[in-house]
Amino acid sequence: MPILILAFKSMWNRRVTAMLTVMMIAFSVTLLLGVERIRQGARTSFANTISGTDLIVGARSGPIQLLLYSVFRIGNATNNISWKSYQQFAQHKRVKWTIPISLGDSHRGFRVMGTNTDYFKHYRFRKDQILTFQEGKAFASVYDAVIGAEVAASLGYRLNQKIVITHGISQAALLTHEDKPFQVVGILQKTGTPVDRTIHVSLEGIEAIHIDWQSGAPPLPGEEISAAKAQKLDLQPKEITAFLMGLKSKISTFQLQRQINDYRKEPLLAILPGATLHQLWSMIGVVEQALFVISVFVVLTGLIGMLTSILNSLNERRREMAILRSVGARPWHIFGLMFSEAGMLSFFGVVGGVILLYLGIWIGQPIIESQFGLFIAIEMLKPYDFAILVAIVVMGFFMGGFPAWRAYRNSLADGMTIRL
Amino acid sequence: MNKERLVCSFSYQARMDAINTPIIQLNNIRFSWPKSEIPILDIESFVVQKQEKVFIQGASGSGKTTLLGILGGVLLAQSGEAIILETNLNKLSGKQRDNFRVNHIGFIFQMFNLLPYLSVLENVLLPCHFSESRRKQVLQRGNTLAEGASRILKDLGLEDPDLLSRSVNELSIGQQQRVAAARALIGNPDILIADEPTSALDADTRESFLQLLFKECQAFQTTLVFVSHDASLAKLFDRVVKIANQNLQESK
Repeated sequence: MPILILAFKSMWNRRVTAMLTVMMIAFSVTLLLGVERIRQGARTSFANTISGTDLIVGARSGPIQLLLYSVFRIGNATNNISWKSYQQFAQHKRVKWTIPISLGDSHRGFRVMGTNTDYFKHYRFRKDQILTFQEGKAFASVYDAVIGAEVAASLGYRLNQKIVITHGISQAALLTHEDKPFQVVGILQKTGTPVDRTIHVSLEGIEAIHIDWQSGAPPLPGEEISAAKAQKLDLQPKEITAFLMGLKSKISTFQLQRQINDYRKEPLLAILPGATLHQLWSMIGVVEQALFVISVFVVLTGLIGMLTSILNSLNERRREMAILRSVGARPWHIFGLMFSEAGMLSFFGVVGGVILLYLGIWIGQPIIESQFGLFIAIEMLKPYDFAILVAIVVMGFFMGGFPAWRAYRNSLADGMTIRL
Repeated sequence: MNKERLVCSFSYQARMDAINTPIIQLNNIRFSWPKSEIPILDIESFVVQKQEKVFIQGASGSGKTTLLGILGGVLLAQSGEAIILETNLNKLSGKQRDNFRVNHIGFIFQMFNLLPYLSVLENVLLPCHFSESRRKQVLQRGNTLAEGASRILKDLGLEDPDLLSRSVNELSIGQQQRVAAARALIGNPDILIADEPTSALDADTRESFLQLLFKECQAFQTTLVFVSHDASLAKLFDRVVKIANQNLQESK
């Protein structure tokens, strides 16, 4: 009987402990590979958020803050920029297109963004992909709204749904623009970017709902302007939050960036989305590294757990070793028995870990996507993953060398004597 | 491998040429455990002839198990020589001794002799996986290994064919000891060493177990060295030897 089969049968005899050990290794392997997957998914979806935009311009603050609120809809702008400044650069001879952005309101936790129809024409994500409509079309009149796929899915909205915009971005805000409800006229296709979680309205719409407001407070009784009336007024915005910019030639990017940053009439900040994304990612990268290190330690813990359980079993298995010795097994067979047990445990652990990983991705994929906007693809293991898995099995084998050596020494010393 | 073959043919020659040459011969054996000064065994001479059934009696702690270790080539005495089947064990390497042991000696212990995770058949056939010569011996007599195993089991009173595939945990202790005996005897080893194999059995099964063992040793022409503290069994053997004062004494 080959020693491997013997080792397997012996292990099967202790299957509860063996399975727990395998599970311990499997979970640690799943964690390690899972972290790797999430890291890759996060990195791709991160880099895919915005594409084709050469500069993002906002009021002067930190570049990361500007990127966060203008692209990721995280946090707030400290200040707005004037329509005049916007126009100044929108009409610059080197500028091909601009997309104005006006933020500050929300609807049931989703950010509302005022923009114009250039947004649907010029906004690009994931390697030059354009926004497309699942249903409906772009907004045309003041009280039209276009919602992202996730907004539609999680709130169950269809076309023609009436929505009331809340003033401010807190979900518990009490101030609403209930006098001027919007109507959903379009639902965008899923993009896997923050666009999915955004409600898009026209700049005029944002202007209209705030037209009767005074310095951030709702109109006093008697001073309200009705929705229909507001529509007829001049809805040209005086301020916007930020704007995205595409240039005719990328060569002029740095030149224009300097011009905007040095603009005398208003303190502005222009950033290159790619560079700032990179900067942001390198901050997150520390967490990413930490996660990786933690999961490496979890794998080590799993392997040490295996070592412990094998070492623990050595004493109870002295009888087994002695019997094997008495029927002719040589000390090296005993060594092989223990060695292959460790190898098998770590091998099964790794296989189990991979199965758990795919099961986890399969189950978790929709949840992660809807909760965190991260798309984790079900794809083959990469050479890097294989390298990690092989390393774990090899490490398991080597850790098995220790109890195997102990068993070898024991069996030399004990011979066939059964000691209890 | 060459040496191994040499050992085999040598012992075969020995068997053919000189029926009356001793099969086991201990000369001036002195053995002490590494950390103790006093030898646990100090045997001037001990000889066992072929096909003898020897009963070695000794209280626990008298060095019985050590003696069996020396006979089996597991332990090497600090001085003196152990010659088994005309082979001086002291002159073999560890690996050669291991090979020699599995080829020529079968063992039965007190209890829990069997590997709980193997079936009865797998347990009986274990020596055949480690010894080519015992494997060949089985195949010479029967057609397959399983047939050989079931034949010995049948001779030892375990007739039920279903028994072969059964887990050893389902057997009574008496049955387990008979399976252990079958394993020790399979492939026709020259010597059977039994270390208190009956101590876990009750008085009735004890004697019938011994009778079966004797019958098989007779049939296989196996020399039996039986160790026990239980003097009541001594009368069934050809020869009784006592361990006392680190030495062996013939008792009449």
